[in-house]
Amino acid sequence: MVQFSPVSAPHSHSGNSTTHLMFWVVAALIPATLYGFALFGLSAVKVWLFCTVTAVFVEALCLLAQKRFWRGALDGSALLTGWLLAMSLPPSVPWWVAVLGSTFAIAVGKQAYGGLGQNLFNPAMLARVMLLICFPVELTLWLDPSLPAMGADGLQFSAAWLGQNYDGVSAATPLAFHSGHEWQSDWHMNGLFFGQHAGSLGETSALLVALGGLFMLWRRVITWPIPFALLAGVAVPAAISHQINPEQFLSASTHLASGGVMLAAFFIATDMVTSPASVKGQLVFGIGCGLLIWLIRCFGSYPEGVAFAVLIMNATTPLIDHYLRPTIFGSRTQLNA
Amino acid sequence: MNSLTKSLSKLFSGQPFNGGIHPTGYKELSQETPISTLVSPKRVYLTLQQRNGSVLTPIVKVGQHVYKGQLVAKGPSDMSVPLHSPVNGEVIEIAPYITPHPSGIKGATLVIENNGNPRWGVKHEPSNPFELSPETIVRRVLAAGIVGLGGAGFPTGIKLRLANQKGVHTLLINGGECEPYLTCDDRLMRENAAEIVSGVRLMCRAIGAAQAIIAVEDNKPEALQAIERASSESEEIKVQTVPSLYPMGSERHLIKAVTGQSVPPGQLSTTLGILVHNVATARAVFHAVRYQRPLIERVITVSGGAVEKPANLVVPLGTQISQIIAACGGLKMEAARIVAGGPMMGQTIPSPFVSVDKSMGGILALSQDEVRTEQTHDCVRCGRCVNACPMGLMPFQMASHSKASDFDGAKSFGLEHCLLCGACSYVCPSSIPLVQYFQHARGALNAQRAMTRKSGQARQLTEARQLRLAKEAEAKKAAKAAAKAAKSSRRKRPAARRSKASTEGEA
Amino acid sequence: MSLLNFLLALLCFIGLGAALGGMLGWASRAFKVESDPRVDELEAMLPGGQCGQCGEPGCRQAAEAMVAGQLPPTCCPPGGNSLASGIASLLGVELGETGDDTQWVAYIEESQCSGCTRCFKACPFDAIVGATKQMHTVISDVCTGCRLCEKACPQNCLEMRPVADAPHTWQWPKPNVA
Repeated sequence: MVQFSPVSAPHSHSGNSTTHLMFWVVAALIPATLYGFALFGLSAVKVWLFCTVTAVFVEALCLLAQKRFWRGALDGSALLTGWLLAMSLPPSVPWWVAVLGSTFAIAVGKQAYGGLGQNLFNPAMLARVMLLICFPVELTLWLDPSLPAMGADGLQFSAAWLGQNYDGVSAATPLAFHSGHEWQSDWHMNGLFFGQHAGSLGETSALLVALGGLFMLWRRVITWPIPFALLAGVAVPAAISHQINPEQFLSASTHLASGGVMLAAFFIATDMVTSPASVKGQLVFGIGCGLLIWLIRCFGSYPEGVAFAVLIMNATTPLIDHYLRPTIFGSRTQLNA
Repeated sequence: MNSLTKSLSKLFSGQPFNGGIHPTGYKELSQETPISTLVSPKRVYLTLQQRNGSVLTPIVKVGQHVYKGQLVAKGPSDMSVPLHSPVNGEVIEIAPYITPHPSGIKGATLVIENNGNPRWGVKHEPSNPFELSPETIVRRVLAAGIVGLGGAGFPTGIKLRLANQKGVHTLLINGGECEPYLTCDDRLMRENAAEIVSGVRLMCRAIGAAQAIIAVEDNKPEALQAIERASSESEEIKVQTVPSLYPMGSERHLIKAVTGQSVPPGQLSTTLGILVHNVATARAVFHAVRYQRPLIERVITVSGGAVEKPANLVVPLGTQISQIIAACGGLKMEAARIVAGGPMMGQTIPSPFVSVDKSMGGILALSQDEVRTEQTHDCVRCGRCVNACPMGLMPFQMASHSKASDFDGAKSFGLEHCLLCGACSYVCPSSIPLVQYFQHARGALNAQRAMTRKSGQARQLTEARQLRLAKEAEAKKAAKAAAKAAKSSRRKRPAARRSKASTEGEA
Repeated sequence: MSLLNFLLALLCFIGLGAALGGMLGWASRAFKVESDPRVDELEAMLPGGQCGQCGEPGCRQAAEAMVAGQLPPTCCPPGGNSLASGIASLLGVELGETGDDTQWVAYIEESQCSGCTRCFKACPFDAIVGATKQMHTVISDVCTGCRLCEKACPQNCLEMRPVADAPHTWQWPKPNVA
């Protein structure tokens, strides 16, 4: 049937959809996730499963409660939120913490604001901060990485890998260690880069996370301003301070490769819903995130500040969007608010 | 900060202007098909309703014989160009028929039955067109009823005259053809480069421009070669390639890509001393000035996935679209929409029986796969529209304000500067019909403006009326008073006379 | 000591309250405004046809009623949606559903017209032209669709018709999405 009633131009479309974008992001997360599974074993898989399944399930429930089509929960956005939460939790958290966090992320962090596109804060980060405040003990217990080793009779798994005794384990992440002690030389750059240290799933291998990010840049799922500005926002003050006082301040490369900086730069701060829309705004947003991360790490009472930094900048997004707009073609000034 | 972001974006994208998209081209469907002539239609339907709202007045009667190229209707001013008969034959009807406007509004239409004789009925005095005065060229262009054939449909003669007055120094010829599917300008440049170049020289003469630049997108190497060859002897004409990027065909963006200058928002390109015309218009100008032939036919691209044999055709104006599609072998599959113009900015036609008008550059029968209509989802503020917008606006904000009927809010995000190019809708992952929101908002703002004007007028009229009524009442009162006075004076006068007499008597 | 402090604070507040209250009372008398200045402003915005479609006898009364909140900003059909939004923003009220915004225009069936001039006299906008015993006609560009002439016509040859769409007045509808 030819449609003769008026339909507005354009009569063509790129074929892009939100679901496509979400799944590209998920695809970019897979390598780092698998590596995390290999390092931390079954407990990590368990955390990941609980987070993602709960997120999708709660999303479907919320949609049903609002009398909307429940299959909207399969659009990938809930999966991504759950996945990002799993990436930012210690692999040793009990299952109920993961479920609680995921439920909070979707129900309060996203649906309470009106669903996809309406939320002010990044749901995964909101849930992570909520968990950190409510369950500080569970959220700061870290597992030591133990890659399965090749033994005489096939792969050897440590007890921790199999998730048998994570009750008593308490290893220190590089950043937590630094905030308590003098920096020791046995924290190798290589270790940070490839992830042979304690941390959350997404914090271990900066290299794999960054590769995933570059993949998304290449696929045009994300654009350059936020990652660029965030990394610069961390690296520049870190480099300057390290030059001034190497005893007290970590070097820029250590800052970049440790903790959640890479994950934040490519996967969390670039969340399209909660970041500004114009290039100018995105640069300000990214620099703000980076600076806050560095400040919290160096002067705050928490060893890691990615989640706080992103949430604080999320809160400023409407303001940034109001004041920093793109420049109209041919004029030197932007359109006034 | 601005220059930093600009240079960084340029570094990362390597584009001549911010924003813009690379839509799938589909040019291969019709690119290699030479321009051919359609079998002449039995009847032509010339709509007298112009797109700017004015209606042409027919100057022929039903039953009258008309020849090809004869003036058949003219408008109230030079802003509505005259209409000429595209065929030899007889006027058989002047009646309302459906117009190409997407709403399907009917408008007065002149129907001419074709007697099949292909010869021109207008004579021309042979003269060297390059010795004509600029005003003569402009007059011939106006009389030929030429409008911009790129799609905007503004009268070319008026544009030339204004440019002459404004002292334009550069004529920029748009051979961009950035809309997907369309290849008629490409073919025209390959096959009629000499005529285009002559038209360009004539236009240069008409506006007194020192140089002309013909800009061709880099995806048309053969057209580029042909134009370069044809213009090699004219020193004032330069040929330049521009990267293929949508919307390169937009006047402002072409100027930016070619000269690096930007037209300030809300102003015309003539403020920079530049006038932009399309290649097809240049050729029509050549025909109008050299042979004094009016615009009665145009080259259009018939394409789209649902068309059996995509082609580039010379079509007499007024030919019904159904006949044109039939001449291209008909449809090979179900078409979802039939579009007049390109897929990015073209309009759906309300019926297969609407006829070709002067500003229709293509007819596309698009299949469902090509249209890719998706369910609209909520905006996720991803900012893709902001990155795609060539005007530096914030489409998603404009749409959300329009959705809430806050049209002034939409204006504050740049609604008035929007080109309606559709780049934002094309990239939107939520398939939001952004362009329709803008069109709706603009329509509402226009209606509001019209209403404000009208109520102002009503106010003035009613005040004038009250004043008039008051004056009339006063006049009546005055008349009454005067009559009364006259009456009483008549009554008084004898008395006066008497008194006078008495005084006289006394004296 | 603490009792003294408490009493002192109490006294301070009582004094402050009395002083401020007194000032407010004085200001309300000293700066009293006889009529709401918005009424004049509103009246200036209205078409002034005194057509009575709002239910008030005239535009002045309509303006008063709107300022008092008895009439909605949408009550003036000749003004249309643009006037309604103007009034709403002047009064600082939320514009409700604007509803049907069909424009009407008077049309005289000329074959039936007796030339009685009643419609002509009824029109507050001089939108009807004609003369005694002559056929009348409507200048549709000027007609506001106020319907005063409709009631005046003794021949029933005057009717209201919706304004037909033209290409330059046709509007794209708002996208119909959930």
